[in-house]
Amino acid sequence: MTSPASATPFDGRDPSVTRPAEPPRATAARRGLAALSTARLRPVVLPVVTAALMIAAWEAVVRLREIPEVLLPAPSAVAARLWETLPFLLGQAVPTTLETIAGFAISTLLGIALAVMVTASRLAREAFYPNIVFFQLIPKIALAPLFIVWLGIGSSSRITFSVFISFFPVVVATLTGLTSVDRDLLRLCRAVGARGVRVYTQVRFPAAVPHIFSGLKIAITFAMIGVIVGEFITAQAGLGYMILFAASQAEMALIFASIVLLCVIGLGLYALVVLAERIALRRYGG
Amino acid sequence: MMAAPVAGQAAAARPPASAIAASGVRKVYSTASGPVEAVAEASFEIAQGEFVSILGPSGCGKSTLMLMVAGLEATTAGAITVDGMPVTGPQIEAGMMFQDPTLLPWRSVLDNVLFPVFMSRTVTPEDRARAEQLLRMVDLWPFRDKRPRELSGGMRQRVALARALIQDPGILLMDEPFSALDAITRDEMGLSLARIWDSSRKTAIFITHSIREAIFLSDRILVMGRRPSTIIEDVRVPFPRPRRPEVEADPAFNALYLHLKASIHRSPPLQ
Repeated sequence: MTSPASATPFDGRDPSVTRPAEPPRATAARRGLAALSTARLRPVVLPVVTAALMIAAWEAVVRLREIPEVLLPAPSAVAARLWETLPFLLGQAVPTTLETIAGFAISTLLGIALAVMVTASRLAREAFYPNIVFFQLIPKIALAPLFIVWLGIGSSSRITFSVFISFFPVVVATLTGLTSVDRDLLRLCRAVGARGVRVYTQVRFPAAVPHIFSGLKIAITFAMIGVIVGEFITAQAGLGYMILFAASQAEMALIFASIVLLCVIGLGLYALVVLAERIALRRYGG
Repeated sequence: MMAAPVAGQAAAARPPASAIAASGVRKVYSTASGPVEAVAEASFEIAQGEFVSILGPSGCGKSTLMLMVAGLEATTAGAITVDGMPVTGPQIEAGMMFQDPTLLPWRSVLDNVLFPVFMSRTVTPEDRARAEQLLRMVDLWPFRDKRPRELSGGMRQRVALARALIQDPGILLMDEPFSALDAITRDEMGLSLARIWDSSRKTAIFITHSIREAIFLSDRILVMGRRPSTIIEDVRVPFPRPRRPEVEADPAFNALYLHLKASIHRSPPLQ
């Protein structure tokens, strides 16, 4: 709306007194509303529509080409199977979920403790950190059978394996956070004679919170992978076991139904971590 | 009386400002690629309540010198004393400001001012009263409950100034505190610092690249050169206190400016 004609020539008077005319309210409001609806909804609508189209294409291909269910069940068949077996599958989901939460919780504590130790002591850093990194280079899934040998086929071996593959992101993220504190701020802590513990509780740890959560978000997904791999091997119960069992029976729809449920649980757990992150960032995000 | 290990004890009977002396101070860092000489030789005396700027090019060891005065870096050779007592470790007696405000983003402005207190002991009502007084002095009392991110760069640096003064230190050490600010804010900060310093007259070491800032604020200016990193000039600034912005129009100001500029540029460039 601002045109060269409406600009105020500088004439020595206080320029704040006269301002260019504002655009008419109604048009601005209408334009704002239109912009709002497309801008706000697009990031939600677009991926949902894309996914729906892909599922529809899957359904269409299965029906038109008459693909047998033992090869690839249609999404509608998966949905039907999921609905029939939901009470049973939910029962199987309980150990998977609990073991994932346990693995994640232990990873969090262990990862943070290890990161604190490694930042607090130079000796610990030099002794442990290269080894922690080296540990990461091991293809960890290859070690899963060892855990079964050592710890048996109970939940302890699955939880241990889950911790084994999910604690590293927590260590790295926490380490980054604890060492991201401004050098001058740490100097100031030393200058005022602050004790180490207080530097951790008041400065380093709060500064690390956003970093820690980025590690936890990775850890929660890894923790679930660990439990499922454990269930594949120990074959007792759980959704991982269900997938293996259904595969042996050529029950493709049941495999997909189990996977759908795993996705929902995984998403739920991830959402809980994000929620915790939001709450923590309101306090420590600055 | 100086260098008392506990801040509370020192507060009882401390002079309003401390005197600093450095003799034959040298600092060599050992790095992976061999020893690096940060300060070749520095000797100076700063009287109680004197405002001294250290002016010099980047990499001349000004910051290292300040950290040694603060007791945060050990000297390789030579000695630094504060009120006659040798500096052997971190000095609770010194308030510090850095190039960045280095505030805690998750704490309020008031808490940030109290930071040096709660890091070392329990906050008392007297501390709170002093924090209020300091925040009023830097015109930030209405912002006491805000978080640093809600403030402008200049305001944050004023919080850092209030924080540096919270324990009523005998020395104020400032390492390029305004160099991250825009030119206009920087001028304003210079004026507020001059005003605030006038009300307390702490012994101050102010590190800067800005010749004008150094002249405007200081009683004395030490010029540091590079390779070797030594003090190449010690100039007394002749203008009366309190400083007014008008001194910049004084021909003597400009003469001093040109003199210092020539002196700095005589030192060989960094490779």
